[in-house]
Amino acid sequence: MTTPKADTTSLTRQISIDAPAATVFKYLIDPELMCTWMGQACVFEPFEGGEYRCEINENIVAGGKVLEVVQDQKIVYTFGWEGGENPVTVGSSKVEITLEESNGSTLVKLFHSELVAAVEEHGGGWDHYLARLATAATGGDAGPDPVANPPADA
Amino acid sequence: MEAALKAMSDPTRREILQLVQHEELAAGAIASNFTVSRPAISQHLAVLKSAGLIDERRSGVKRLYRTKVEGMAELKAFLEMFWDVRLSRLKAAVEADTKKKETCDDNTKS
Repeated sequence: MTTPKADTTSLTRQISIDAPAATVFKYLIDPELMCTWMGQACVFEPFEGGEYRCEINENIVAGGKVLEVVQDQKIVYTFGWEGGENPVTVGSSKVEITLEESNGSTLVKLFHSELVAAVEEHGGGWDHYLARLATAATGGDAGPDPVANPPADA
Repeated sequence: MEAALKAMSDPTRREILQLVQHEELAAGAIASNFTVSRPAISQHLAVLKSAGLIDERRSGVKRLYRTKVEGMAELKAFLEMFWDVRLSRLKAAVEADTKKKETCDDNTKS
């Protein structure tokens, strides 16, 4: 085989955050802080077998099980969306987030894998679901950005 | 994407997709993995091909098949966008928090 493997079953995203890893870590596992970036109501039980659940909005809920938690370094959980029509069912794929701190900044790496199995469990009707999810994901649920401008005193 | 999902709704076709995900195989080699007839496998390959999930290439008298990246890549592209949005929000929230704390620390010297 000379063609390089093109892996469509996993993806990696990363972002550098100007804060220590310990601070970023809190935002990954504290349900209240998770709501600032992930959804409107979140559950994260920080131990193996614990529950992961995040309401992105009333209609769209992500869920799975916590697989691994390493304080200030790493969390791993299974991931999917509730509901029969979505492409990635609850717990059917895997999300691994690792934190690497250097000089006060933290590189956040997100690795989302096992997507083939997730796709295969699903029969059809994606388009509609993804359109709704895209709306929610890109700000349909966001409301005003609370951190962009601190509220002025009236 | 609709056609791709319909194509993937069949268990035999899903198995075919897995078989040729990382390895280009001839129709005969694919069929040898299944108990269903060779014509049935050809039919499945035709469905997968028209759904844009596999590529077909001729080599001599053989036709070779391999999972096409683009079909499966749609979900991946979607999820990349999903996570990019979430991670940029995470960054905004954490950095605002950190700045706030620094200000408080400066004020109270605690």
